[in-house]
Amino acid sequence: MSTTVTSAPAEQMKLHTSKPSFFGILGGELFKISRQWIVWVMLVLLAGVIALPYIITLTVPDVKATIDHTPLLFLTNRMMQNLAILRVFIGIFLLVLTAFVIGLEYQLGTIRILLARGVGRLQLLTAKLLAVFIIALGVLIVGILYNILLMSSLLLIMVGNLNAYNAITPDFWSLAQQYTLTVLISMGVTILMASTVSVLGRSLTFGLSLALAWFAVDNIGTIFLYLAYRLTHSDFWLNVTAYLLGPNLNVMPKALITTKTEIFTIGAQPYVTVDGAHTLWVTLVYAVIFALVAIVLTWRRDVKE
Amino acid sequence: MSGRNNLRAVASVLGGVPASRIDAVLDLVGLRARQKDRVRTYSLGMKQRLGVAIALLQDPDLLILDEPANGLDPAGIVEMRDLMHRLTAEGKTVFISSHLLTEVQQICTRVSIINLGELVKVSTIEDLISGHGEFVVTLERAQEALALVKAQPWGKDARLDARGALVTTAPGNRGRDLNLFLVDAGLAPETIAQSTQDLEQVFLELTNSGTGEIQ
Repeated sequence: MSTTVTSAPAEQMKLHTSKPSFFGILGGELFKISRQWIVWVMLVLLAGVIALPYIITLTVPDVKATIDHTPLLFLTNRMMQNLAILRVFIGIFLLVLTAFVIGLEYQLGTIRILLARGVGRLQLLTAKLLAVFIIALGVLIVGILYNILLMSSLLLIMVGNLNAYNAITPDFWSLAQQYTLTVLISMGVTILMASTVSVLGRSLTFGLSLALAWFAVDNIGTIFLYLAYRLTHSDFWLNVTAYLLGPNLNVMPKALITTKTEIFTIGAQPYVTVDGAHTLWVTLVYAVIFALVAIVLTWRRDVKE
Repeated sequence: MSGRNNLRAVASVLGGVPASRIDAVLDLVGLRARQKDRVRTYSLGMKQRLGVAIALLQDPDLLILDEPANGLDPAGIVEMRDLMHRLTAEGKTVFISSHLLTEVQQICTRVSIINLGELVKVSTIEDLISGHGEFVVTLERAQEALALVKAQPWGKDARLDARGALVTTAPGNRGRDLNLFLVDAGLAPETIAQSTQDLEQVFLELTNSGTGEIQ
């Protein structure tokens, strides 16, 4: 083979002196994510899940009459349902994505390639988290635009025009913004939770399993806590449900948004009444704990293998 | 991810690594034809070479490789050996740690032998494997030649090796003189060659590892 591996002196000097930068690491992470087929498969599935309610709506009788007579109510309900669906399924997407981005690097041992080139462990974790946050934000924005496209298509199919949008009031936008904020909070704490369990287990398998199990367990857990209450008649068990992450995130829109419209939510909720401030504090405490555990574990534990 | 994308990801982290450099290292390690294939479809040897390609991205003067031939099939070992030779031909220093001494003997110019954490020897391969000034002589009447040589002041340590060849020092340490001596004695040799040891033998001697018998 006649290839020359040694570059010209000027280029060699440039290559020798090249050092990892935070934005370089971030770019590398975004590049790796974009090349993982599972990310694209999940996005296609997400697009399908978002479209499903619209397809079902097409088959529901009297939808045309509802749009004609109460367009604002129809759009408000659909907006909340769509955002709730986005929250749940983008959440699952983020759990898998975060576990892959952090856990797979440990599992395959490729993290050593980066660390050996002078990348700091915390620097790498921060870049990975930022990459996931950027993608999460992008997916949410695209998801909302996709919903608008689907809603417009639905209106055109059902009533032949987009006049229903004329019924939208400032209250609708306020509700949409507040609901979207709760979705963003849920996405943020979801990413932190998945990153913590991935850092803890240092493996995709462990991180993915625990991350996916987390919300399932604390949603189903409310049922068992309610059973414990029924058996013991102690309010303690009901009060515990107010401090579970999943139920708090589920009830957050209802607890936080003050409006005459009934707020739509998905998932198990605490068995005691909680207000908006409570849901925010509980979520914040979880977020801080997750972030601290991830940072301390990454900082203190060396990567040897 | 593909092999090329792995290199692009690391290049992105390092910054300042142009695409032409990725092409160059892919060529060097012989993965250009498979650059778009997923790494999981690569053989172990190809994965090892991809690792070397990553190490070469910054065009280092020194490469430190830990067991580069470990687990490779014969073809992979040959590919890795050729790659090492190409790197050294380019003026790069390649530092290898390995337990495959036959490979070390074929790849390296200098070796350090470490035993129980202590540096036992640092030398060129040439010096290590050359015998102690001895010659290996193949001839028909080896026993007779041995008796004759052992009677000489320069041939007291003469012996026959496992294949029946005479191993001896030469008068004046010159093979030509040994040849003349044997011809004069009517014991014309078929071949005379300088005695060499393989690195494994040298290693075992230097580390007193013995015969490998189970105690």
